[in-house]
Amino acid sequence: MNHIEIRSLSVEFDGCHLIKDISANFELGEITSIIGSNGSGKSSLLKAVVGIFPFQAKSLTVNGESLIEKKPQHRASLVAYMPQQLEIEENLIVEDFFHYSRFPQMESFRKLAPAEVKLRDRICVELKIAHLLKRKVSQVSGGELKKISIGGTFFQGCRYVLLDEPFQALDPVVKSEVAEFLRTAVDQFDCGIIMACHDLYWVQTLSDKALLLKRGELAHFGELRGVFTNENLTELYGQNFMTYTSEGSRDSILLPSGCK
Amino acid sequence: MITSKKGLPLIFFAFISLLVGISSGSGGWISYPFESARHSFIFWELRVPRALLAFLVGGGLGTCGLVFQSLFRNALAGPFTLGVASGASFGACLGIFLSSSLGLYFSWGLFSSVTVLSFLGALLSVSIILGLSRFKNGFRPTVLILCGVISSFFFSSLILFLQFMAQQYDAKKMLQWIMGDLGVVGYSPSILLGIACLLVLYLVKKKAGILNIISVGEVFAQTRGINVDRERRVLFVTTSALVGVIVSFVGPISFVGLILPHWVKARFGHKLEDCLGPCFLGAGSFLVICDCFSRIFDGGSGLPVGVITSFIGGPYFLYILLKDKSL
Repeated sequence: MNHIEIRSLSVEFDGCHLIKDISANFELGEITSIIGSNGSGKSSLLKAVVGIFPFQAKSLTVNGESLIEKKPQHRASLVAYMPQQLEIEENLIVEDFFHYSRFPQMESFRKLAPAEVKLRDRICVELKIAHLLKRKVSQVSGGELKKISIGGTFFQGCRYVLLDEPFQALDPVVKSEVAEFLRTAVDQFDCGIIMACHDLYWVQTLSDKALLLKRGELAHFGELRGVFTNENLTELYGQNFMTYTSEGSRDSILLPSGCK
Repeated sequence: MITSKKGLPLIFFAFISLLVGISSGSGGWISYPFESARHSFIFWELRVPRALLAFLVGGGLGTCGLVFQSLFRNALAGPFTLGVASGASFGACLGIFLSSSLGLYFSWGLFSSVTVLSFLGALLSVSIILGLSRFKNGFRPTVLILCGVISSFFFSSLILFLQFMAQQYDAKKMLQWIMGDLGVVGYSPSILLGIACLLVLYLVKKKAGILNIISVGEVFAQTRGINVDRERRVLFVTTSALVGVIVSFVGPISFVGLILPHWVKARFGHKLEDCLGPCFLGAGSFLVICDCFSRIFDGGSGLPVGVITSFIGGPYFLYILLKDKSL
């Protein structure tokens, strides 16, 4: 029962079918990546699951409970979501960003409990953003803001965390820091992560499962090793892929053959 | 409500402004003990009620401005840019027109046909905005402010039409009403307004946390489980009702609800619960001082207070615009 279950989910906007009849399960304790070319509907799918985009579905349940009739606050206590670009007030203090992020777990708005402060500090240390807590949003860089958004989304305290492009705008070193955070977060927060991601290197390094979207339709879904084949990716992106193996490692990575 | 040290000068300012407000006026400076029964009457029946009303009107408008600005995340959102005041002005002008040309007039204690029609005018513009937002699938700031601007123009044209049709004397009466007037005898308007302000302050204080989250960003608030549309609707209607009450009693007094929230936010930070008290105190005292000027000006000719608030407010707003890099 520990999963998000989607049955026949469709999203229509302005007469366009952004998502067509998708069914999938996202398990607790796993990282699932949603991949596909630009405009394939990755973000729309995430937004629909979290309920900020109108959709039609036979059912959408979290651990057996239907999400559709849930009140927004209850829904936000089960599923957290980080948009690709977070537009936030520039004068906001980062510390308050974390405070407000915790709102779904509060009966009514209150200060953070000592245990919650500890949790927040732990997340910040792991993401190396502890020194930014007292700063205004206008005083942090784009990459730092991305890490703050990721931290805030986990601090929301949900069993399922949806991330839209967690690696965007990050330098290579920070990318690996965030990847390490996500890898350990699954056990640490006992949660399931679903991320839409263009960075195929990190998708293959981190994910347990992958969902391949092509023009709003589900092309392939399953264990990473089974789904990430040369044929599937070539079909998805319309370009040939090659297997790259780094020296001294048995792991191989599929990347477009164009990049050398 | 005011806890930080920054609040102390503000409390001092409020105290001084009220003191000056009740002591000065066109009849000269009056201080305790009173020289005559006439002085005592002027003091207790004219100046104290007037200062009290000015304080409540200013505080109420300031609070509404603060709430509008956080609700719609827009520095220009205010009781007047959203068209509520122009609806109320149209109602009042219609009341004046009906009473003189058709003889339709009633008065019951505090309420006359002019105040009642003015309040209904405010409600009318609120319902136009609510209806439009439902039609446009959501309570979005851009739609709302645009709608406010449009309805302002529309009501202005109706007011001009009424002035054109009315007798010269009535047209001047309408103009005077639109300029705003704090002249009052007795305490009943202040008591009514005081209750209305307390109710709105209580609601806003209760919703402060949610308002803070909404002011961070719309998508952020949605992902944190807030029904942004519903919260906006509820707070918009309640604060607009307060604006309607204020405007129907004293006319539209502009800029108080626009500049004071900016000043308070710059000094007291962006958390609503920290700004609410200072904003009410600051805006209230600001209007008391402006009203003093209006009463002293030209030996008590009664220059409308709206002229003074706009005269100070316009340049100050420009100053904020130049200074604030985020705008």
